[in-house]
Amino acid sequence: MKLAKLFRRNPLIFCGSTLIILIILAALFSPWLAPHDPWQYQQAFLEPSREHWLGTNDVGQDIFSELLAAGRVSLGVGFVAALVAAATGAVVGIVAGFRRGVLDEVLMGATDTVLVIPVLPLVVLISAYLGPNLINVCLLIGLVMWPSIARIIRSRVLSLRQSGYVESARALGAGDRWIMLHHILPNAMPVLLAKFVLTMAGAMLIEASVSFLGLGDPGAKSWGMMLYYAFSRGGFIREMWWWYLPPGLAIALVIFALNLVNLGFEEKSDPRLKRVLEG
Amino acid sequence: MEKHVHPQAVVAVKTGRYLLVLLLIITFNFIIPRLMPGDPLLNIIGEEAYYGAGGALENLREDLGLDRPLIRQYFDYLGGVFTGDWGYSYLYMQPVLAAVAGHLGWSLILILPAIVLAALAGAFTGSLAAWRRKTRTDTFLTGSLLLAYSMPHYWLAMIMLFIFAFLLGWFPLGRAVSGGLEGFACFSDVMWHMVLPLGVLTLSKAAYDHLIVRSSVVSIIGEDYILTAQSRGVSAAVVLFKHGLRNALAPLVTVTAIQFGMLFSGAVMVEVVFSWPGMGTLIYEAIAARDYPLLQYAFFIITVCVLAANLLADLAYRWLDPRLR
Amino acid sequence: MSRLLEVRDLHVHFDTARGVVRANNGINLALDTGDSLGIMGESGCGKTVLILSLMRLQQPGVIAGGSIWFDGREVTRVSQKEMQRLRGRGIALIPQNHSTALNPAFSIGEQLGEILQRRRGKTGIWHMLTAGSPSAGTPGYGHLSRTLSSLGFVNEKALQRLLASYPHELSGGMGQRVLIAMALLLEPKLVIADEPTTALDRGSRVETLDLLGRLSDNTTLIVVSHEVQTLARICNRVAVMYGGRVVESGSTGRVFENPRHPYTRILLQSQQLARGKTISLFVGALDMVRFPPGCPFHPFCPEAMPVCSEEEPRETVLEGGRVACHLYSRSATCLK
Repeated sequence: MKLAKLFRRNPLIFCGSTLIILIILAALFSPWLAPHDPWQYQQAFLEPSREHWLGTNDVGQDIFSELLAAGRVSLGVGFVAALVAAATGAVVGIVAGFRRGVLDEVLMGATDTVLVIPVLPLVVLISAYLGPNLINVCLLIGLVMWPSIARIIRSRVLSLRQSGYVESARALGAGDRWIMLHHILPNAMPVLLAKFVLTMAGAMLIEASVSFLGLGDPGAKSWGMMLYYAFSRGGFIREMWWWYLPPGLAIALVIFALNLVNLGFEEKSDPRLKRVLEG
Repeated sequence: MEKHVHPQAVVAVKTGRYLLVLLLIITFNFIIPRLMPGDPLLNIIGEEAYYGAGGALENLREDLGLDRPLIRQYFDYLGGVFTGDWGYSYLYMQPVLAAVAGHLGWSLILILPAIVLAALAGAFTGSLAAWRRKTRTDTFLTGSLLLAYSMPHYWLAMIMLFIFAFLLGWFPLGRAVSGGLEGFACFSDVMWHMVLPLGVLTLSKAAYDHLIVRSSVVSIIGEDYILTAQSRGVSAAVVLFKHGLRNALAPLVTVTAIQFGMLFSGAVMVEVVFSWPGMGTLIYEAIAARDYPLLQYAFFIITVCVLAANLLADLAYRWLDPRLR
Repeated sequence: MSRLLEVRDLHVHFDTARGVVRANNGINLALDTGDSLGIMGESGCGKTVLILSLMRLQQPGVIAGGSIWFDGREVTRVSQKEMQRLRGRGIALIPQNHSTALNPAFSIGEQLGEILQRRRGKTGIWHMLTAGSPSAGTPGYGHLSRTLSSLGFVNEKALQRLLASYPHELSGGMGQRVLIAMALLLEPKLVIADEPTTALDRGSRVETLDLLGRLSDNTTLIVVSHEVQTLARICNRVAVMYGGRVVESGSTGRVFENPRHPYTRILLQSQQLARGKTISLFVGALDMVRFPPGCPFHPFCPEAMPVCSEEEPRETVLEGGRVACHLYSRSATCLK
């Protein structure tokens, strides 16, 4: 069976990816899977029943449908923010690592500066000024998370630079831009991919935290926003665990899956083997 | 061959860079309210002050010097930051400095023990999991800690609060003190209130430390000096916890420093759930009231703490690795 | 003369992503007390795995077959706890490279102090964790300073300076001597030296050879090396390894003057050409996962015969040693 073989090759990546894909599919197809319209007001504070699998929230919306729909927002924000961070980080890392010199110093100085700034307080501060807006949140998170990606990509580029391929490409007259695009970038992809996965997890967590604090976009409910309402509109006090347990569980499962994939990328073979295989 | 990079010089350079970052943050805090849409005065003093001031708005504008040239305002602002004149919070009816300082203490009471406890726990489990890599011990430990690490801090906090306070009633439902107690009784009261929030923070951080230490120790196991120690008949436990772990400490310290910002953020979220009177509650309430000065300086002071942690970690790292002394 | 070590048909396998690497394929060795055995071969022939297996430190490899007899006991199936007792006291290892073989986080004194604790029998975790650098009052200090002075750290001040220093501060020669001292502190029955001269410059090499030469006079020694000069100087017997097997063995003089196995001949010739400088001989990379059938050397052997690609040669006992080669298997004569 082909699936069994894929599993054996790297069980971590297999399990993680499967979980993620299932959740993404559920979120994508939520309009068809959800039994109710998540925005429709019905009777409030209902307990789980056959009609409402997870009951209703403080304004009478069906929680299960809400859960599915919110998946799109949470996953979407995580993905877009990670994309922004990865793109920025990759560009900075590749240019700094390849060109070196003053450009490298300046870029790394900027990177280190942003790297040290605590992310959540900054996002909170700016969101408080800008007001709740999904696009802003995505861009903001992305623009704050690129430094760690830049650092990792740069180290990778530094080692790639030494490879003979670069020398020969230059000898054939290839320009910097061509080398960076056609040789450096493809070889930095595995690292970039692993970091992207981690960044998406981090971005989702930040979005969830920012929303929980009340800065989320009420027009686009995410899992974090559901938790915000559950906590601040009396769901927690009323011990409505069916309201606040599922969204958090969903976030935890997605982040868990992403981390599994990342671990799968990272797992090296037994380091003692090098003693044997090299002599 | 002696290569002397004076450790004092390195520390000085690092401190210089951090001070630069701090200056950047202060400047950022200065510019942001003036850049954002809306009346800069609103952005500077917050909604409550703005809408509550009524006719005195123009006087406020003059008082705060908003009619003066920008450069002048900047240097006044800088001066204010360093002398402790951080403005007034209408939410707490106190100067911002007092409000922030008061809340910061409570946050540190949670964060500092959490760092130490989590490092101890994570180092132990991480080493164990690395030694027994890919066995059931490793899968169980790493798997469950990975799951704990994946949970949003505040959600974990809600669950713990629900189970241990609501259902079982073992611990209080929130806050840091029950009020009206003195001396030792007050101290133990705070301890009692601290258990759950500290537990949540420690668990989250320990999970991360576990992953880091596990990864370090796995590579260390391949090192020659581990083999040499084993060849001398040193027991597995000693090899792991003395020879192995010692070399994993330096990376752990570095990572802890880098992650200090995330730890603080996590603490902020947990405090909200437990109504713990730290920076978390401050930020939560300031957001609701749009008290911008509070938010700005909360950001500032958290950054100061993170930078201080980074500096300490740099020093500790140099001390831990004899090759750098 | 008693038999200290005997290895019978040892097989050691490693599970890797590419398949099973058969690092040792039927090794036979014997060592009497007082002997110095040299194991000669190039990178990848399995000599490192062999010596690690003697101490049961071959992980993640597994001993897939055969037996190892040390001091009358079979040790391949003994528990790890038992092996720990044996390591250091029974068998000791002198690692190859001092810069990687010493823990960079602890001073030389602290690392020696740990060994002294063991010598006193204090092997509990507490004693091991708190073993500090030994000073004049510490039990075992006398033994330590005698050992170190026999290795060249003659005066007290030099000794104190050594104890206080860290591994990265030592020169090649000093480091090597520290490694030797560490191996000798527990007065082991068997000492194994892994490539003792490879990581050294010329001056230190001469010193180390001297030391090891003296050592071989009063200890049982196994020296792993690919350098003929080293082995000729120190060992009285030598075994040549290729492809996880011993292809030839015998007294050093006989093997080096009159090599029988074609591989031995090529190895010796190339080293003579290089005039003592270390070279690595690329006879041809041997795929340790997919061995060619028959003799592992046959693809590169100048004297290969048709039978060499079909059948693995058995060890033939000849006068002055053994050889595993089809050239000799027919005209075998037994030693009386």
